[in-house]
Amino acid sequence: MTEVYIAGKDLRGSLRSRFFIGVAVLVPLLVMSLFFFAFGGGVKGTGAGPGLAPIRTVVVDEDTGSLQLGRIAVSTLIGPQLRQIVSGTEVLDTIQARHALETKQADAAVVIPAGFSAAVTDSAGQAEVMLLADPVKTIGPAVVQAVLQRLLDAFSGSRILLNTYRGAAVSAGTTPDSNVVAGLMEQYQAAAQSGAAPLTVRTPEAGEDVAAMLRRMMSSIFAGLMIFFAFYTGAYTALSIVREHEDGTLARLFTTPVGRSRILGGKMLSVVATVVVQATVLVVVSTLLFGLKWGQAGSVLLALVGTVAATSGFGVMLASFIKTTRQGGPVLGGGLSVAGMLGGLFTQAVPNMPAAFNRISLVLPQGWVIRGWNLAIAGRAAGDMLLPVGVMLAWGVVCFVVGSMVFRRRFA
Amino acid sequence: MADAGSARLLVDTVTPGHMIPPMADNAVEVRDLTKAFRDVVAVAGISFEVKRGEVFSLLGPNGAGKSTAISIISGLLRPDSGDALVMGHSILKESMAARRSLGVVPQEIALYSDMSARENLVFWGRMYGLSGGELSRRVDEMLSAVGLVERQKGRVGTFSGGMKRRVNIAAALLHRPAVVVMDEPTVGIDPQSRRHILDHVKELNRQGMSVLYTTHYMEEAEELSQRIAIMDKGRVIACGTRDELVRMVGEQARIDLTVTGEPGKAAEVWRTVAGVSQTTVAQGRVEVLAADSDAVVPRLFEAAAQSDFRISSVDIREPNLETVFLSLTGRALRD
Repeated sequence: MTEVYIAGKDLRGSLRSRFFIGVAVLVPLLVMSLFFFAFGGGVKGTGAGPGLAPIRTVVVDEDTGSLQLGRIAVSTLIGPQLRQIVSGTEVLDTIQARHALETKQADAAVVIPAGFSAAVTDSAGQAEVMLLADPVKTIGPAVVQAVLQRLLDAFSGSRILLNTYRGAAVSAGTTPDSNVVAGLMEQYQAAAQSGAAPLTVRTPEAGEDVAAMLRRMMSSIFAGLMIFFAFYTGAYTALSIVREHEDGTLARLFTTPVGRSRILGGKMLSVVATVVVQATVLVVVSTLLFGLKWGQAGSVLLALVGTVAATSGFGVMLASFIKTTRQGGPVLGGGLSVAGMLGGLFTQAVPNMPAAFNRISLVLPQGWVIRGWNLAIAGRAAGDMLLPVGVMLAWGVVCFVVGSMVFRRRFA
Repeated sequence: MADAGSARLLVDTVTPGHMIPPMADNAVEVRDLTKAFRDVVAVAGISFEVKRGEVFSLLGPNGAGKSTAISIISGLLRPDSGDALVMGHSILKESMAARRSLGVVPQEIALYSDMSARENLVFWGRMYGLSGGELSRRVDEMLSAVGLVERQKGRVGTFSGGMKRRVNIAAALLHRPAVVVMDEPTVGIDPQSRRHILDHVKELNRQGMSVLYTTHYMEEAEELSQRIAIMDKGRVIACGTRDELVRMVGEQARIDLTVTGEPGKAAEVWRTVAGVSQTTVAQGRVEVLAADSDAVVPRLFEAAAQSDFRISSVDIREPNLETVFLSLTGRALRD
């Protein structure tokens, strides 16, 4: 019971501390809010439409060739297929397109150059579509770039078709028939405009809308944030042992008829309690405010348990190596930032990270905690969580034991 | 200083039988305690005992080993050798029982500054095993005793130094300890707060509580203690009542007299007075050394009246612990 009194005293102190509330709860929510608004603030959609605001895009078609392949690009960007993502408008020339960007009327501009059709159909031609972007915007232009890339890949495919035809004609000792070339391209154009376009906008999983995809991505980002701050909270709370040592209250506790193991146990219980409160508040508030989906209840509970164990244990171990609270700031800030980065907490939304990063994250508790949460967010059942949660628990226990031994030796 | 005027004595409602178990002969017995920190011997085989119901002071300069000794008795440090019994319980073999009998007032304020006075006392009371109605009653009693009922909900961090000191002491008395250990509780505080603390100690002792008190202020040790152990360089160099200590080193009272007339002649007359061991003339005054100044001073006046000079001023300097320490170590207490 004494341990509970000590933990309760510490928890109450944490909840009264503006610094703690700021760092443990408000800062992660604030950072998440910035992400939320950066993504258009609409991930609370339920499937009727995308959460991301459509990217305002102006399109210039300077391709005047007979095939007018540029029209395919234009119709793709301003057509109904991508209206959930791209709000396209055609303008007359590059000057108008630049003006639209400079006056913030557009996030991106696409210029189909003159001779585009000829370049596509010419086996030695270079087809270059220009993408102009508002330097402040990053995500919108990147999406338009991805759409264009898919479109140009399709054009490249058609050029391979034409080259194959030309090669066959040369092999047969005949001259490629320009009418056949035009016919092939017309058929391609017709097919593209009739719906069988080379560009298909697909959501990652069948039946999942864009809002759900964004929500999942946001959840993953927020999980990284939450885990980072949970590790910080664990270490910061464990640092109260050092703080009490400096204040003389730990020595006074040691003069009471309470064993040192129970006193240190109470301090560690306070770390666990504080992280439980923090993680629960963040999960609940982010669900209510941002509409984030964390996964099935059982999986979330398992992830939460593993997170609390890993962050508390790691915090106790880290704090045990800190001699003074003055050392605490740089050690916690620097150490946890590096561990968080290597553990992959900040790179969840970055595709195709180097394999080395993944390997490094396997030897850090942060890497396993984020793996667990990503599984939960992906909707995996509790049974699929056993490995990462088991590793989290193991990390927690090992770190607890190491930290406890160091503290006991120091205060023996 | 607003708090100083409202401070009261610690008037407790303890039952003496509860405070002092009849089985223990001494409240504290220290036996050959030794403690070294690497090459530095902080406590070198000290022994003493604190009798039941007495105030016992450890007097010595900074670094003498007082706080180390107190830390060992309080259970904070483990001795390299030796043992200490608190109310008959060994600090090594029955440390929990020993700690239950102790109330420790640390030298520095050891309270949670973000908690109120009441919350602090409730927490420390729980650490001593109090709960429920008893805890609440004791907290009320102690808040009343230290004059902080009206400020009980105020955060300790906002209190003046004197108020913090009072809460610091109250936290050690909640569980009605048989022995209170106070480690230099008056260091760095204003004279008024110091006066209050000394009065608190006397009141606790009047109620029958045993007090182990450390200080490097000779006046405090003399005022409070029935017995005193003088420590220096980790050793107890003398132990006893104040008078015993003074007699131990054979110190005599010094009586400085100013006379109308020739000081040399007065010194010659007084040299033959019974009880006077030595007379000297210095800076126009006569210095007389005597073992019993109370008996000798009237005789000096008598001798002066029978001669042709008169005494115009008398300054009696009784031997004290400062002179004892000086005699034993060759250094002053505050060196």
